[in-house]
Formats: sequence, C-alpha cells, structure tokens
Amino acid sequence: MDKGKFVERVLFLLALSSISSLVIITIFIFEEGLPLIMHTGLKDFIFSTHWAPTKGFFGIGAMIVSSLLVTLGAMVLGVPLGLACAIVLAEFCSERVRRLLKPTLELLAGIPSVVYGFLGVIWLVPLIRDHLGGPGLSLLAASVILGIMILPTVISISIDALTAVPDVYRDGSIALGATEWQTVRRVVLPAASSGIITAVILGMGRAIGETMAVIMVAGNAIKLPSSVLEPVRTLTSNIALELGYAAGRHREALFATGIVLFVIIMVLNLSATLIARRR
Amino acid sequence: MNTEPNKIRLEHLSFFYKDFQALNDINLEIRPQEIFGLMGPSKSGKSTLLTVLNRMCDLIPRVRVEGKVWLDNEDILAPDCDVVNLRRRVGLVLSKPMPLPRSIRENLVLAPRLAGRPHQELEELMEKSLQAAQIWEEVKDRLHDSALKLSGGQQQRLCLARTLAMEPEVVLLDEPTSGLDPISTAKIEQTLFELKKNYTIILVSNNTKQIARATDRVAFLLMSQIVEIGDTHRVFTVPKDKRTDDYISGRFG
Repeated sequence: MDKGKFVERVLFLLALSSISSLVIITIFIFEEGLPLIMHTGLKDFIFSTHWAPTKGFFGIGAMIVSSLLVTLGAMVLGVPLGLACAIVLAEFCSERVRRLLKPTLELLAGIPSVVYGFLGVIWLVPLIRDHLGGPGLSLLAASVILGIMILPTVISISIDALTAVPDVYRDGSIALGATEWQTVRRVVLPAASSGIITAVILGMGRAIGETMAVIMVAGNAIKLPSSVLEPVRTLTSNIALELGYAAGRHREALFATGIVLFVIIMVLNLSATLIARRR
Repeated sequence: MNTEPNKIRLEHLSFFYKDFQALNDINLEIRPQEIFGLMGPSKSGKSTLLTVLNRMCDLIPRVRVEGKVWLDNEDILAPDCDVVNLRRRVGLVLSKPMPLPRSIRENLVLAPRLAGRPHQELEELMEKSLQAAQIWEEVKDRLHDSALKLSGGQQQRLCLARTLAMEPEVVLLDEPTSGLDPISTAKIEQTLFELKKNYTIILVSNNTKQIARATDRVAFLLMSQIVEIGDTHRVFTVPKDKRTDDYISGRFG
C-alpha cells in the first residue's frame, strides 16, 4: 500500500471516530434515560412540575419552562443588541474599524462561562437585589448574562450574512434614491434574512445549553417562576447540580432530562441548517 | 427663471481615486432631451464620470473631486446638495443588470415607495415605466414572479424600468447592452430613442457602433481626458483628432 492511500485511510478512520462519538453519545443518553421516561410516562415527565427524585416524583415541567423563559429573555436582550451591532459593523463602519472590532467581539466567546457567572454574582445580582427587589439570583439575572454570552454568536454570523449580500444590491438601491438606512432596512436585511435567522437560532442553542453561568446566577429553585425576579432552575443546571449524588431512578431521570435537552438543541440546529440552506 | 440652456454642465471636473486621476479637467455640456454618448477604451473614465453625476462616487472611500457640476442651476457637488433628491432626479442604470431578488413588481415599486409616493399611484407608475422600457408585454402576466427568472436582456430593461419609475429628469446608462444579444440590444436602443422625448440621456458604451447608431452628440474620452466632443454624425464622419479616428476605426481600444 502506498503512502498516500495509507494517510487517506488513517484520516478516514479519525473522521469516522469523531462522528461515531456523536452516535455513541446519542445511544448512551437514550439508553440511560429512556427507561425512566417509559416508567413515568412521557406526559408526566414533561408536563408535571413535581420534581422530588428521592420520593419518586420525576416531573421536569418547571425546568423546561424555566429553560425556555431564560432563553427567551436572553434572546429579547441579545438579539436586538447583537443585530444592531452587526448592522453598524457590516454597513456603517470603515473596513479598518470592522477588522479591528469583529475579532475583539469574537473574543467574548472565548471567555469561560464561569467568569460570566462570577461577574454576574458580583455585579449583576446585587444590582437586581438592591434596585428591583427579590433575591437577586433570578430569571432576569440569568437572561442578562446569557444575553451577553450569545452576542458573539449572533454578531459574528449576522455580519457574515450581511457582508455576503452583493454590493450591487446596495448600489442599485442607493441609485434608486434610497438613503443608507432605507437601503439597509429594505434591501440588505431582507436579503440577509436567512443568515440572520440562523444566527438567532444558533444563539438560542447556545443560551439553552449554557450551564455554569446560569447555575451561578439563576438561584436554582425548582418551581414555576411568577416573575422575572424569582429564582429558576434550568434543565442544564438540574443535571449539573444533581448528577454528583444521584443514583438509580434519579440518575436515569437526569439522563432523561438530557434527552429532552438533546432533542431541543437538535431541532434548533437542524432548523438553522435548513434555513441557511434555503437561500 | 432658467437661463441655462444646458441640462448639465461640467466645469474643470477632475476626479481622483487616492493617487490615480480618473478624470482630468473635463468640460462638457449636455443639452436637455438629447442622447449624449460617452465612448472610450476601458479605464478612460467614462463610468467614473457617470458616478459623479449622481454622486454615487460618495460611496467609494478616499476619492477627491474638483471642479463644478451644474444640474440646471444647481451645483451638485456643493456640500449642501441633497444627495438623495439628486439621485432621484438623475437615475443611474448600473452596468451589471442586477434586480433585487424579489418579484418584478416589488423591484418596480421600491423607488417610488422610498420617495413616499402615495399607494394608489404605484400601479400606474409601474405599468408606465415597464411600458417605457419596452418590457411590459413580456412581464405583465407574471409581475409576481421573481425578477431573477428573467433573461439578461429583460433584466436590463427591468432595471431601466425601475429607474424610470423614480420619474427622473436625467437617465445615466452604463454599458446597458454589454453581454446582450443583438435582438435585446436593438430593443434597448429603440427604448432609448423613445425615452429621448421626455428625458436627457447619457449613454456610456465602448461599443462604437452603438454610439454611432444611438446618440445625438458624443464625447471621446481617453486616459481621463476628453479628446473630442461633437455631433455624433460629424465625429464619426470627419473626426478632428487623429486619436478619435484611430479609435472609431478600431485601431486601438
């Protein structure tokens, strides 16, 4: 066998192993988690809000709702901010400023999430406690922190989507008597919409999957929140907090929580891919 | 009172991209309701001249303009010139026909909508513009189809139509028939001839035959400078400058 063939084989095996790890992870969490879902019933598992694993109650409804609310909050804060930032950088900045600022913003993604959580505990939580009331550790705190954490994802992908819009569209629009802002709003944004939707969905995936920062600022109480100032526990927090001492059915329930998360994130990523491909 | 007999007058216009001088001391008068041709080899400054006339040159970083350009009696290079309004009066059809990736109808109503024209005028304006650009018959039954489904020649006429929908006074055309077959080219030239009644037209082309067929007067640009200006017929039959003669007889360019 010649050298080229050999290298090709090795690379193929390596590629296969990374894909097979995805398959193994999938099989593993489903194998560990599914028995409990069978046992409790899918409906009770997802919709019941009674989570008392030591007493045999496995309802993750409150945590699903909390996860979704935290994510929604993060989107409400992060998407307008990120999109505005992307529009300024892609459309109104000089090439030089963009080349400086875009990598800087992408550095945000490199900051470990525990640092975000730490800053949240030190600054944001007391701020909320003192000025808005409640314990400070809250749905709001988690949303704000996540809103900032998704910025690099939203900004970076949106900028790529905006810069991919051909310049002839912009020139055409300007030549038709549009102002720069009208051009952005009526021509560039619609043309970049699928990329921007992808950015939002990937940001959403990041928000819903984030664990450490959320544990540190969300308060982690298992109940349906009645206001944004109340503490919440998300799906990811629940797994991370309880896996250390869980055994038997309880452990299975945490894996089952993982299945729910897995499905949510798969759906998000898949729709992002489909929308991006629709162009 | 308008004592200015010319629609557009350029005085000592020079244009620089960083250190490259793209236009050198251009003096030119363009009369109302004529088709004025600009011909010359590529890089001679023809397209640059067009972009100055509706200030599209503002979009390019690090350029410098000197001299004056008068539209009627208004100095369009003055800092207080309303650029958006200028671009509505002086419509530019880009050299690459590039309709927006939307329906034919939306491409047409975009400009009037931006200009704040009332809703009920849009349909009429659209039909009028499409007819003026000689494309109405071909698209009237599929106005909601994507404009990208049209052929190259149709897209070019659609882009002309969407410029006309602004109801400009001057229409600038940058190589409107480059890459088109002879039939589409003939259609566009026919269109220009019709449009002359209502608009002042400046046609940039490096196709000398087209300039000879379609324009009333012509300027020959070479290396950023005007070599010769005159009635098209005269320039093509008895050119005063040797270089013009060489160019139109195809010895260079």
